Amino acid sequence: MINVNDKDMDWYEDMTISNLMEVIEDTDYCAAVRINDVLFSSPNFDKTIIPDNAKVYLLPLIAGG
Amino acid sequence: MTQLNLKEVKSISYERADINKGYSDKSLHINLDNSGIDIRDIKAEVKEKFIGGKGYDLWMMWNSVTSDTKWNDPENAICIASGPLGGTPGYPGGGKSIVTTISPLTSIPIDSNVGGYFGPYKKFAGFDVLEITGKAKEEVVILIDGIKEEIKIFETKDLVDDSYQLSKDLTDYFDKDKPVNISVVSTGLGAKNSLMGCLNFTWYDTGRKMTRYKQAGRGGIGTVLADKKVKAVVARWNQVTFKTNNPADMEALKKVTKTHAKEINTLDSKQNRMAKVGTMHLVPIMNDHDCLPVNNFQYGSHAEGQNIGELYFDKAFHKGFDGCWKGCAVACAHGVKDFVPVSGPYKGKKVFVDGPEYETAAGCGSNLGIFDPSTILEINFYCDAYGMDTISVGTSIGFVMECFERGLITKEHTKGLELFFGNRVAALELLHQMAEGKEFGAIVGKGIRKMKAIFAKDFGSDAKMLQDIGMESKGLEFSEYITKESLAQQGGYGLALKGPQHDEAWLIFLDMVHNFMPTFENKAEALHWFPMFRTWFGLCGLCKLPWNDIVPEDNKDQAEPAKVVKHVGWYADFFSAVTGRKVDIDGLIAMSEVVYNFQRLFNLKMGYGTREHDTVPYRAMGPVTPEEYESRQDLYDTQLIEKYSIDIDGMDIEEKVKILRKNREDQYVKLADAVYLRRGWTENGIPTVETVKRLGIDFPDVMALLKANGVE
Repeated sequence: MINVNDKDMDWYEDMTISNLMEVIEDTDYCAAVRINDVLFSSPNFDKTIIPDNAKVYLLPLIAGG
Repeated sequence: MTQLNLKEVKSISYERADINKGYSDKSLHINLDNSGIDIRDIKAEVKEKFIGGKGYDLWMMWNSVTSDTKWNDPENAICIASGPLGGTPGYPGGGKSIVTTISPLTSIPIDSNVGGYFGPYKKFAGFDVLEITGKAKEEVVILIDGIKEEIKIFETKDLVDDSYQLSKDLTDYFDKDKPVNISVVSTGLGAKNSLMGCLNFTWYDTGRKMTRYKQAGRGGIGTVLADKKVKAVVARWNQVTFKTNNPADMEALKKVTKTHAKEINTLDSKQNRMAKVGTMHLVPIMNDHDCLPVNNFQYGSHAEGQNIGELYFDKAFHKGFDGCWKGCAVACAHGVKDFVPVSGPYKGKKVFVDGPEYETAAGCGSNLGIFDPSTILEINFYCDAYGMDTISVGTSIGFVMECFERGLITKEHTKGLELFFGNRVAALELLHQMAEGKEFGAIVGKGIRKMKAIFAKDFGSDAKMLQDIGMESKGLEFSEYITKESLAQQGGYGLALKGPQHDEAWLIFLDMVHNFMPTFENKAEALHWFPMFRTWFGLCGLCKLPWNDIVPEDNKDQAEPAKVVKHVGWYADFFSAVTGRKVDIDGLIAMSEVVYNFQRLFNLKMGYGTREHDTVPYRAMGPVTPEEYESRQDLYDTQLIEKYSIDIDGMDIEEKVKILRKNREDQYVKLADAVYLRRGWTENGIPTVETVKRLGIDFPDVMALLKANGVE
């Protein structure tokens, strides 16, 4: 089980961020996620594996600076 | 009390105007030629049209300067205003000041949006806007004391040139018992000796019991203040509550303030964590997306890029409340305690460094090939103490480092400095030289545009190469984003009114990462509405971060998520609650459009404001060198084949660079065409008669200006 944006979700071994994105709606603005307070950007979504019991937040990045 | 030698040369008492619905409806004019102090009414029609903040600043300046005014002429004005909403305690980002002047770097109006308490304190002391003109004979300190209802000018001969110490001394001097009543605007040695001086705006941090700083950084406003021999401007005020702005609808104000603050408090910890790391989350994100400037904007990422971002500063930032305005929930103005510089006048002494923010880490770190947080902190600290803009400093040093590595300048020119990328000692030494106006630093402190001319004329450097790699537009150094793969952001920089500063249009994510604006028309639309939203914050005395750096959880369900309409709706409610003037979202845009076009006309008045001044160096558009091309070869090759239908078989890199360049430069011209059309400007980038009439800024002098430029 993982917690994504404060909602519990099923987890499986070797689940990547890209895998997670496939089952979440409206991820258009998500260019980065935090997993257990560590930041991962979209170019690394394919290769980043989410650990079990992770706390995940999707960052809706529109602007900055 | 700190012993300072301040000689009072002028003092007036005044009756403080009551604040009514966010306004004092008074302006304060100080003419240093004769120590004149003048208080004037602000006319209702000026209030209606220019709203406040940057709008008031520009209107005051428009009436003070002529088209011949240079930055160091006495009639050049420094204007500082908050805005009708500025000074609302607890509203996220609700205490900003906006500063304008004719820039020594660009010769057109520059504007800078800055935190600290000065703008609200000055307003509550009775003045919506402060205008400083003239030049003092001796260095002066100006005091606006809203508690005693006095304005004073002091001459001084022996105050320190160090803004870090000076602000502490003046805070202590003017209200030792209640230092939170004081906000100081000052600059430092670097502002006297370079063209990239900044202003430090203070607030007193009651938790840490010390003076803190935010900077009005861009465009050399500090240089103008120093040229006027103003050592500091001090505002004194005491209690700030919801009542202080005397809002039209107190309950509505409380409600919207609570709602927005709650949203930030709830969501920031789940999103960018700005209350913990400021804007340092952007460092790794930009690095991963190939947008972090590395080695003078040649590359967009580096293996060590992570070292200078939130990973380090999450631990390094001193814990405590870091709002640059009272009760701000974003509270992103972090700092590092007990830092010990290894160079310069503070060598070996513990200091508190206010910062860094993303721009400083990128500009004074990765862009110089430096991935050591300590060096970034030291450059940050000295830029503040010297009163210098970290962005212009970083971008300028990056430029000379590349010039040095390419042999465009040599050790003979740098007076022995080995300006290789990554040379931390040389970077620090150069910064100290810039602040002192000595050696090679005296040249670098003039900024990139002037350096290009000097290197070509005096050093015999390749002028074309200098033009391609010198990251300035309109004379202002680029802020710290790689724009090569985002045409919209190229426009965000090149078509920005004051020069390439990201605060006008930050579109990298929306354009490059999210690909939400595939057509020229899409990009032109974004380059219309984004600056309008940003302008509005500058009219009202607000920070923009709470608008779209923290995003509602249901934002994705909105028709136009990029505009974060829910928050904009709250801003409309906020404006209505304070001013009593009912507005909707379109009404906010309409306010901005007036001032935005007026600023463009101001550029035209100063001899700029046309297409020829809206260009960017080619490095902002694409790869200048074969090495840059090779760093993204797959992307560029694919683009040549698929987007431009070029047969690249047998083509060498230099040929590819040339062809890609032609196509990308063409794209930029088409973008400018589309943007001008959307903004209601001529093909030469000048607001049309129809546009100025629609906006109600068809003043006689504006119409004469248009006519003189062939627009009728």
